[in-house]
Amino acid sequence: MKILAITACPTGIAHTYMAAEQLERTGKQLGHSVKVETQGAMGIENRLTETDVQGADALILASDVAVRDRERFAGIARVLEVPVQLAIKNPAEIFARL
Amino acid sequence: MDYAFDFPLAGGLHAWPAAALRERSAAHSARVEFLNERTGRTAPMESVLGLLATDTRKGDPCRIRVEAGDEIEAHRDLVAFLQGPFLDCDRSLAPGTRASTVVPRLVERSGGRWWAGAGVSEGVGTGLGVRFAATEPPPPRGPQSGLEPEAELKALQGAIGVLRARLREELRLASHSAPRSVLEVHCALLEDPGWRGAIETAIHEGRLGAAAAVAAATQSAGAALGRSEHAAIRERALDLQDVADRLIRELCGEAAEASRPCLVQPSVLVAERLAPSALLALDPRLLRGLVLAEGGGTSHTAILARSFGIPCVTGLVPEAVEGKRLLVDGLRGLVIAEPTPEVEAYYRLESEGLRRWTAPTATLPEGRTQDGHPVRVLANISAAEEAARALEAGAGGIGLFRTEMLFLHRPTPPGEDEQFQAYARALREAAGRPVTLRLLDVGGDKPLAYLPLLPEANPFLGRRGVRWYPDQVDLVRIQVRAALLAAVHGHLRLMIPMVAEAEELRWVRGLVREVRADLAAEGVTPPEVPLGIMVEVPAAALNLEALAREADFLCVGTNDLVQYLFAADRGDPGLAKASHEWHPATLRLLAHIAQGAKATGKPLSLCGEMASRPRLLPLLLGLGFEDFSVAPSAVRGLRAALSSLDLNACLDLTRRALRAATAQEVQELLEAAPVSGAVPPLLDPDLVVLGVDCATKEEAIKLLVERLASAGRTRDALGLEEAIWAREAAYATGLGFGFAVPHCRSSAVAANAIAVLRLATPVAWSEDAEASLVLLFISRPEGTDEHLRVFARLARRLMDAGFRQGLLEAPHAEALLDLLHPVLAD
Repeated sequence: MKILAITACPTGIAHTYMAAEQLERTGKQLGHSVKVETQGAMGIENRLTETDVQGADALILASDVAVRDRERFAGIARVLEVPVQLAIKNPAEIFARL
Repeated sequence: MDYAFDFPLAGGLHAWPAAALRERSAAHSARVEFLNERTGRTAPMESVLGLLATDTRKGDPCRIRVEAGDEIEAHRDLVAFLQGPFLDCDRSLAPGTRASTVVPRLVERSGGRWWAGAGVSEGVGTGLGVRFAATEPPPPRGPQSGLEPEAELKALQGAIGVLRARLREELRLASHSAPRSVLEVHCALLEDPGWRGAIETAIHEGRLGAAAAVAAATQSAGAALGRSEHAAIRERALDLQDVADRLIRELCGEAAEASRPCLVQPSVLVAERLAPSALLALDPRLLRGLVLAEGGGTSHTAILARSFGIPCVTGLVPEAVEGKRLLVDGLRGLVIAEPTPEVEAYYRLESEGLRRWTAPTATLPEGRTQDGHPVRVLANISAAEEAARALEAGAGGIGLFRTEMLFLHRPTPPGEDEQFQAYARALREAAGRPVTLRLLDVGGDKPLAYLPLLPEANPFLGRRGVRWYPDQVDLVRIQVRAALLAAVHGHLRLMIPMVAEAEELRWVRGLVREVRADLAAEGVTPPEVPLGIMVEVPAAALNLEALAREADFLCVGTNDLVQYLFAADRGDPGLAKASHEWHPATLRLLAHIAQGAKATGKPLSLCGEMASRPRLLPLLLGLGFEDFSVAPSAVRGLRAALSSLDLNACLDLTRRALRAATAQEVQELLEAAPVSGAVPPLLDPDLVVLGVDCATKEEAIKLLVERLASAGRTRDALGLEEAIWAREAAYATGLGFGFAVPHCRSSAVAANAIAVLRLATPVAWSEDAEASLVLLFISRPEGTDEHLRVFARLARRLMDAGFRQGLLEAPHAEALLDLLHPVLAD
């Protein structure tokens, strides 16, 4: 599957990046194509583009704060919202839920 | 009419909010009562002690009841007050100091009893609670017909003689400067003619026995003191009561010991009030803390507690604490009953940190900024005996010797010899370092019994300092004589308070010349003594160059200068704002002063509380001040703060601050600007702690915060700790895998850092996670992207099990850092 994800946490210093790392690693292990955008203290990094959105099968929002520019993903049917902690502690469960 | 509310203040209903409530309701004729529904206690609003005794904590369901009189108006007004200004009581009544009511999480979480008051002597102490109620002396009897006034007078004389001898003996035995000055005040009070006259009148005319006469005279004198607007004067009523109680006991043949607590083991004394003499009679080795309902920071009991290093909290009356283990936190103003071992461990870390901070550190370089620019840090003292401690703390001399203490609270002024002894002693203690003696600064708010001053509508704008010298030439002449005679003992400078115009300086210079001529006629030739002025009146500041041409040196007194600049009484918490100190108007005036001093080449120093606030230091350095004088206890902190500052960064910050429009803008600049010099590396072996045991998460965080503080990564350890916990409150930062990554971005951070703690036994981090390896990231709010990138990289790397294993197994700090360094360097 082609999976997009956004991670974000209140301070945007640590959890955002840990969650991103976990989703990338686990997705890869499971044979998915995964691209993760981080919305942290440094702003948006690895931004998901229109091209990314086209043909994406699912979107994971691992966030404890409001996700910015969410309207970009109106076209994706499967959206899974989870706490950022879950992405860090049990990323496999998130993929299982998709 | 009732109004119900949940008590809103974090510190509970302590002395300040209680006083504010009382004052607000006193404006109304209605009867107002305060009810705490949790404790079931009520108190009339006019009794501060009653309000304190309701034992009200944040969140308690409370109610005010307004009846009779102007009840409708009073109800409306008090409700508006409770919903508005009252919420600021904690803050506005403690200008410039950090809220004294930050309760450590561990204490809140422990579920035990604790009380919040006002910390008046810093430090942490633990001991068994000893509840002490001073036994009142026998109640005074009313007028008696069969009384022999002559016999009563004789008894009074005899008792005064005995007490005088006792006080002198205690004075002889006192080794410490603070006790000496207190006992001297008590000796003087005993001889006070007004009080003695009132006692005698009560015996003759009131037909009272001697003891009853003492009680009656003391009550009216005490009430007069109690009406003063100034806390420092009100608190003197305690001293008078102390002397009176001792005298009454002498008259009744009752041993003084009956009125004094006796300590047999490490103890925390809990009392409504404690007379200074009772504190002096206690064994300082066993007295670990003091909890008093009455007495502010300027009471003699508080001053003595500070001088002995005994933590003291006032404004509260904890109940049922006899025989319980009590911990006194004099920094935050907390008293904790039966602290858990975890709470004690937490405080142990704090007192160790405090000791490190205050331990003699002869190796600290003499005041220098990080980039090597020399800055002098001197000390303010009020008694010669304080000089030794100030110099030991690292002061480069005495920048301000306030001589008022010698003159206050006594019936007659000190003579030439007494003054000479005091000045010579300070000079000898200073051993060649400069001692700046400020000539008598009394009048207005500091009355002298022997100096009848006309009542003034506005004492702070009245006959203060140099202004009354021409009316009291002899008093000033004796002081100048004593000072010039003492000058051979060291490096003396004389300073004139409250100068507004050049004529005042010329007048004093003329007097000094006369005294010198007198001494020459007596065959004494004192060394030359520089004569300088305090710059604390805005007129002097604005006409600085003219004054500087005639003065030998200048010293800015910021406390008065700021209050005069803003026309805001600094004793009035509703008017004086801490932010006045960094208001652009103040900064521009200080800049003008610094330029004037520079243009004339005259030495310039700054004394006043501004100098002892590390956060304002960058501005003062940037304005061109290089010479500061602060309380002895602030010397070390100031020198440490200096050593982390970069002068160019300070200059740059100050240039921007001088263009600001409001204090708020300056504050934002202060919070945003990094004024440290070379940025220290994120990782440092000193910030790695391996193989220790912590019982709780709180202790683990505290340990890292103390490490960061002693490594200079924060100048506000409490603020940093709060910021970490605020982040932790969002959700715990445990990752699972035995790792935790607490972090914060806060202006309490002086330099970004990563601190590492590896625990011997894992500690519970959140409900479902333990941690044995804690990586604490701290970052300044403006945190450069570079640092954030490092944190982000490290966070990602922690998701690698092999990397985590390496950190858990690294044999020593360097090995652990070797694993972290490559992540940072990516």
